Amino acid sequence: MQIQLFCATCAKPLVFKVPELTGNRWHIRCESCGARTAVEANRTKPEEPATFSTTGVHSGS
Amino acid sequence: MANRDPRNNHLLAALPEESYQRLLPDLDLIAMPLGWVLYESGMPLKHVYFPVSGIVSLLYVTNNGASSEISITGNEGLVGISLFMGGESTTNRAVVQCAGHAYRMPATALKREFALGGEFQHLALRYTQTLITQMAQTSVCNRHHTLDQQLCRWLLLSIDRLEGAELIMTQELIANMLGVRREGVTEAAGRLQQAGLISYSRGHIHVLKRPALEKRVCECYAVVKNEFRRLLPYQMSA
Repeated sequence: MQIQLFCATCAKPLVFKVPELTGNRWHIRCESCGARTAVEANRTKPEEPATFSTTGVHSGS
Repeated sequence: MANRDPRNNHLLAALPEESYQRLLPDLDLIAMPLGWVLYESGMPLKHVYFPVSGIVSLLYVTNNGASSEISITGNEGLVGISLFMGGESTTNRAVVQCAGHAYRMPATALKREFALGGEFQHLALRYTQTLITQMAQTSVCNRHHTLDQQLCRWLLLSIDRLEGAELIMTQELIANMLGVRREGVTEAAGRLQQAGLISYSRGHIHVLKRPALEKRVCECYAVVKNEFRRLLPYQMSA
């Protein structure tokens, strides 16, 4: 089950259903500050929806 | 976020409006990270998947751990044909080869729509025939054609399912897909790079001269592509 993630820039809770993917890197846009937080997928069992953990600020490059 | 629209899956886009609206409430957007397993060999499927981006590989893994790719699916098709073919499970594994997004739909909703016998059923069956063609041609290619040709075929089929001409894939992973040693992929990719057809650096493969790659590939690529065009009323990106 997906745990609550927090924005790497402003620390507010991230509201999302599915992360976005740009250039093979997953990220979530914070509704509070607009910055993007980089996330990576956790290992899950087959057919279980992927869950994600934060890894820092998404540079966007 | 245009590529997250359900109609970026070409099967869903080809449905009549009435059929599409019937399915829409049951379509759930999910992320498909690289390496995520949609289903394992022998596992009863609970969902069907309609990719809108990324690529899913169907693999067979032998008892000694070697693997070989049987087919690939991107936004031109669906993953989980055994749900409407009646088998409920298969002997292969479906794993995400290139990360993306998909819409998944519960098996019950899929079977309900398939049982109506309308356009969804027709599209699903025609897509299945293209998949069979792809699988059969992969078998022929692996038996009769060189590794260079197999790599060209695999690159072209993959790029057809992605936006742009770039693929992010390690040589080890390509070797697993083709069922060969990594060293062989290194040599074959090196030859393509030397010929100026691709650039390959740190897992990033960029197809530089697609027409030249299509000349170098064996007949298997065209067989698969032409059969797809014949059976389905929409086109892949290439």
